[in-house]
Amino acid sequence: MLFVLNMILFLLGLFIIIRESNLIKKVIGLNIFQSSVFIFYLIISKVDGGVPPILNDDQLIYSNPLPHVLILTAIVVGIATTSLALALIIKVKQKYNSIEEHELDKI
Amino acid sequence: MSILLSHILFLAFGIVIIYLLRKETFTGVVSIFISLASLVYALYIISIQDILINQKTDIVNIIPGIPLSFSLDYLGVIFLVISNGLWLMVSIFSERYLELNKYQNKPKFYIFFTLSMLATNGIIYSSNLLTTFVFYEILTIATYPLVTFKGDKKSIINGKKYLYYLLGTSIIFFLPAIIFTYILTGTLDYKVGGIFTSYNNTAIYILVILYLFGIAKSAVMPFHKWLPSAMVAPTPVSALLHAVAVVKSGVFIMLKVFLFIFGVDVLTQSGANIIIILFASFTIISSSFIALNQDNIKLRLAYSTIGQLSYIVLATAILAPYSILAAVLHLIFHALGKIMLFLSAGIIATQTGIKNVSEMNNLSSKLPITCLLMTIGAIIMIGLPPTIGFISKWYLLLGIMESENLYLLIVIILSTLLNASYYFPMIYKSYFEKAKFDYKSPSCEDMPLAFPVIIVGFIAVILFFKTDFIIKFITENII
Amino acid sequence: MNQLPVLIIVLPLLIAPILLLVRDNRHVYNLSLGVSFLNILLILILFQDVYQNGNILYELGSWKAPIGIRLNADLLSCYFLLLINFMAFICLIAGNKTIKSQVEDDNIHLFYIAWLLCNVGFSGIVLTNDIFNLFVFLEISSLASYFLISQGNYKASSLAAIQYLFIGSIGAVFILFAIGILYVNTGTLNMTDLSNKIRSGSISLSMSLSIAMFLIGVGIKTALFPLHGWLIRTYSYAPSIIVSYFSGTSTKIGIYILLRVFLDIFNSINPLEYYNLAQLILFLSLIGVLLSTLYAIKQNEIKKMLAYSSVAQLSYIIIAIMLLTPDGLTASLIHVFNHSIIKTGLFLVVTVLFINNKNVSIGDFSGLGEKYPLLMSAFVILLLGLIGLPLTSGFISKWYLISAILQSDYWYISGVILITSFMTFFYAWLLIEKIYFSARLNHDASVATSYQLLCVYFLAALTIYLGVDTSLTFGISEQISNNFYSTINQ
Repeated sequence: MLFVLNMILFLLGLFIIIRESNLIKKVIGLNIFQSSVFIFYLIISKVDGGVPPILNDDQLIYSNPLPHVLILTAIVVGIATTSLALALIIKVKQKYNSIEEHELDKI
Repeated sequence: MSILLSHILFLAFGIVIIYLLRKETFTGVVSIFISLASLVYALYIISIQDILINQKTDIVNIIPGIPLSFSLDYLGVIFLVISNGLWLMVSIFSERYLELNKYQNKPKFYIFFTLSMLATNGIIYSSNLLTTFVFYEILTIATYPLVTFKGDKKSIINGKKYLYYLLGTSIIFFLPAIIFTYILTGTLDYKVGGIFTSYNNTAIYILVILYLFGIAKSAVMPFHKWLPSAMVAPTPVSALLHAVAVVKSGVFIMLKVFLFIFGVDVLTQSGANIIIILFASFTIISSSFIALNQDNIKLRLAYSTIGQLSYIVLATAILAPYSILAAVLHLIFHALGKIMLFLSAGIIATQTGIKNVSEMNNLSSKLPITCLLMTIGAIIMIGLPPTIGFISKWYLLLGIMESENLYLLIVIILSTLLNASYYFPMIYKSYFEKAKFDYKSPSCEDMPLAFPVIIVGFIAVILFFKTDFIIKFITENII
Repeated sequence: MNQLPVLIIVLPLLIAPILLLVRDNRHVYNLSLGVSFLNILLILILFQDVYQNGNILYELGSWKAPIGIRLNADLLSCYFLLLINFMAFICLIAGNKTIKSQVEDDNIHLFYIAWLLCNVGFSGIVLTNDIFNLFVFLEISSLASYFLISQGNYKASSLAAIQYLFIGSIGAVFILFAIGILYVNTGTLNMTDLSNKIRSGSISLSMSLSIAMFLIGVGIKTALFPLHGWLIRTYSYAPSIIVSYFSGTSTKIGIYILLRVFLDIFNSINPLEYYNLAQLILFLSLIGVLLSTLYAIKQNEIKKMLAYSSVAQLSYIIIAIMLLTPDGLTASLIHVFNHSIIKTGLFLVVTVLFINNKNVSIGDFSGLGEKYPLLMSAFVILLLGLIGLPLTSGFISKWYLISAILQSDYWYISGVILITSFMTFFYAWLLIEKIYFSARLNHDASVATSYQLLCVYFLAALTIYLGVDTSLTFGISEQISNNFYSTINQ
């Protein structure tokens, strides 16, 4: 079930990037798109009945820490991408005075 | 270092010399000396041919297993003398010709002319198909600046056509044919009797067609259009390159591919030679018909060249000993005859401005020697005695009889008649019809210009009485 | 433990932030050039070592794989590593002057830093043995390249950059997703480990999904038809020196990932064959070759023409891989190297000649043959290489490509390859004709510095050298492809 929801999020994000004309909305789409994959990593790392992986003598079952670590890196990359995208959009706005892609393509 | 390699390097060195002297006026003289030295080289190589025959010199491995490699074979010996000998004549001719026609940029002309001859010699020396292909492409590229030498719009358009045909066919047909051959046999070396040890007929058929179309320098239809386009070039270029070096290289490669790659046995057993015979016969007849309608002298000669080349291809494809003899003989004799015709046309255009057959009335009164030489050339082309053209045609007919493809007799007879009917008007007009126009200048013969042509004519006449040593050489070594 | 693999990544990675402090444009340039040169030396030593002694593994922080991240320098890595860093070095030498005039003064030092980071990303991708690490390096290089592209002095530069950012990120996210699925299925991220754990029996639906996502991600990176649109836009509006650099590297990295993922990690499944993916990609690429060659002929703007030509040439490379024979792989690897050199050389000529012109058309080459005889003959040599005439490296590529196709099951596509390769001649000739046969002389062409000229001559000479001596390209490519296919056939 979670995977299905996740997949819907994934496709939604992709759909927004492709269909939206506004560059800012595209960035939002990109974020949704990326987040869906981040969430996917979190889903797969969850172990039933597991606790956070903190070394503790009582608990033997804990969630897989590795995907969390991985996704931390991916989130950093995502933030970098978003900020770069926004910076570029500002430049586009300065040059064209518009951020609607269908208008930009005409110019 | 091998003598063959040193010959090629010498020519490359010659190009550098001309390039360095490019501002000087005497590049033409230098070029004559280079061609003379090249002829000496060729004669020296022939004098020691017994040592050199089939000795391979590998230069560099282009594709692992297939080196760029030189060697000499008996077929090459013949072509070597012809091309280098005629080169000397034409470079003497072109020095005077360029001067009289006031062409600019002579060094460029000589550089690419020498490069073309380097490529021709490379083709002669190449000991495998890859080497041949390399020099074949160099020859195409090197002749392009000569074809477009005039630099006007017409020559650029024609030059483009020239390149598109020659490069296109070599890329689309010749290269895959070579690769396919290599895949099938694992070697590309020319070998007497061919390199196919086992084969299936379909592969041979495909390869024969690929080679036939791919070696478009032999101008077998349907890929012949480049040759008429090349006629925009200055006359010496048309004479040497497009009647001897380039087209003969094509035919020469064709001969080598049929004899030393496929081998006579493979071709006869698979019956693939029928394809070649059909294409060649078609070319012979239709080119003659087209030539009939050409008024421009050079174009008429060009279409005649297309037909004559196909004679050689046809003679090879018949695969009888006599016909192969005829092919090799015609390679020599056509070169001599056609160069006389082209150079005469060049003299006529230079001295009188006449470029069309219809204007040739009573030309012999102005240019008696040129017209005589042109007549000899024309008779060689038709193949009448007492000229050398008759000898090769004779052996061709013998070959046809021998192979019992008697229907080919009709092709030969018909084309001979057609040849006669487009060459005789040129002769008849220049001798017997009254002049309609006043000539540009009432000049007569320019001896420096006519001198090389006279020599070629002299050789051509002498050769008729002395063919036995050539025939002996061919029958002993090639067939 | 041999420290070379990590040094090649870490050295420029450390220098980059230091350059941020240096700020002075001239010093930044000299330093990045120095680092680049040092890197080439290191790579040559590494290459030599790998060639003689086989793979070199380096465990980061001495954490043993598969828990730690491991670098793995094998022949394939070294081959691409050498290519990429060599191109970076050449372009850096040739680029100095054009960068000065095309990039805003305040951004120049940032430009070089981004360049170094981009190169770090590329080097990291080819060296790492950890698939998540590959994603990270991919993003490092991509982010840097978005910035580099946006620095062009065209109006549309930023737009091209952001559009590339969107499509590039989509590709990266697909790859990230695919990696996640792989991790779920196998519980490891180490490539060697992965290829051991993926067994041909265990193809689940999720694994297929992973393969599909890899394909989309890699397809975007390699400009696989019909995902090639970004390449045309990017190449048209990026600073010209960056185009020269990317034409030799960034798409080739895509090819590397394709090889690594599909032929190495998945080698026991061989998904290209299992799902008939190879056939699909092959025919897509075939259409790609035809269309992009036609488009290239129609273009009047030279950067666009060369960009379409790049798409066509990349398609040749992909076709060769998709034959799934050792010969095909050899041919593709040879062409990777040869095409990079030729295309970078061509773009470099455009770069050095037209520093200030924005839209360089074919007509701008009018009459340059007489003005710059040597530079133009180098340009013509490169063009002849692109056409694939004998004695140039392009001929070697073509020979092996056609030879591989004729020996494969797809022998009938050789006709299309031959005809398109002849069509290459059409657009190459348009240029040559303008250069030598145009009466009008273009006075706008700028004077190139001797360093720039030297770079172009060097690449042209290399084109001829690689066309005559194939021991480097063919020898190594053959060894790589034999290694690959011997493991696949096991």
